[in-house]
Amino acid sequence: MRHVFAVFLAYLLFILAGIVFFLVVGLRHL
Amino acid sequence: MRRFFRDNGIALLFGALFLGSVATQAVTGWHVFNHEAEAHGSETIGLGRYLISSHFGQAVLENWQSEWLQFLLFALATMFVVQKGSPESEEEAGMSTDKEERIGRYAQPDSPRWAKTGGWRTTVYSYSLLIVMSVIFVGSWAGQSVTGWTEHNAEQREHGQPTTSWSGYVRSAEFWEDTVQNWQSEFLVIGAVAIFSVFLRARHSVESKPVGAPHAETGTS
Repeated sequence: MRHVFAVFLAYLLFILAGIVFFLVVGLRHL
Repeated sequence: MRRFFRDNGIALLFGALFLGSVATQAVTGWHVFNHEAEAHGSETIGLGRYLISSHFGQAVLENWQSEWLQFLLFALATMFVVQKGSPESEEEAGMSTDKEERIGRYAQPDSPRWAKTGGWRTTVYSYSLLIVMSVIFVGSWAGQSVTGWTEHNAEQREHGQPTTSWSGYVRSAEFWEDTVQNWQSEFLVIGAVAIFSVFLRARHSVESKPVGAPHAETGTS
């Protein structure tokens, strides 16, 4: 199951990183 | 390596479709942005700069938030309401027992560790999908609000109009139009798929009942 868990982790981290990235993008103009 | 691709078919297929779509969105959105900038006599920007713009961020996140809300609400709703004949619904709404959920003393030797422990860990793990979806929904909606707000204020400045605060923006018709125009389509599809799947079939798919299953049969796929 490790090869499936790796994909799970990649998805989760990508999504969270995307959200944090755009939060910073939006707030940078403060 | 072959096993990696075979076992992760769905995640990899949709991951590739996502990357293709978001790349296309970035390039086309960049063109739109620059056309508008030219029309206003402002400076155009490079693709790299567009990728870290609020214009792109808002366009991405307003669609993200509605998708997470859709799945979150669907997962929540199926705990409390049923759709007679739907493969995605339980026969009867209601809470399942520890035995049915195979948790605590009913866990199997190879059950997830937090399903076996009981106590708060099992409670948290029991709702972990809902927790993660809620965090992502709230995060992407918040991201939509700040990128949309920045974008809104940039436009106001361009037109020599006064800028607005974040709290003013999230109470504006503009923010709510951007939000609910995504929600409406999600809710329509969820409702439609639930009722369509009672009477229509997709042979070989988990989204469907067996082709010969009676219309009244609920919860089989």
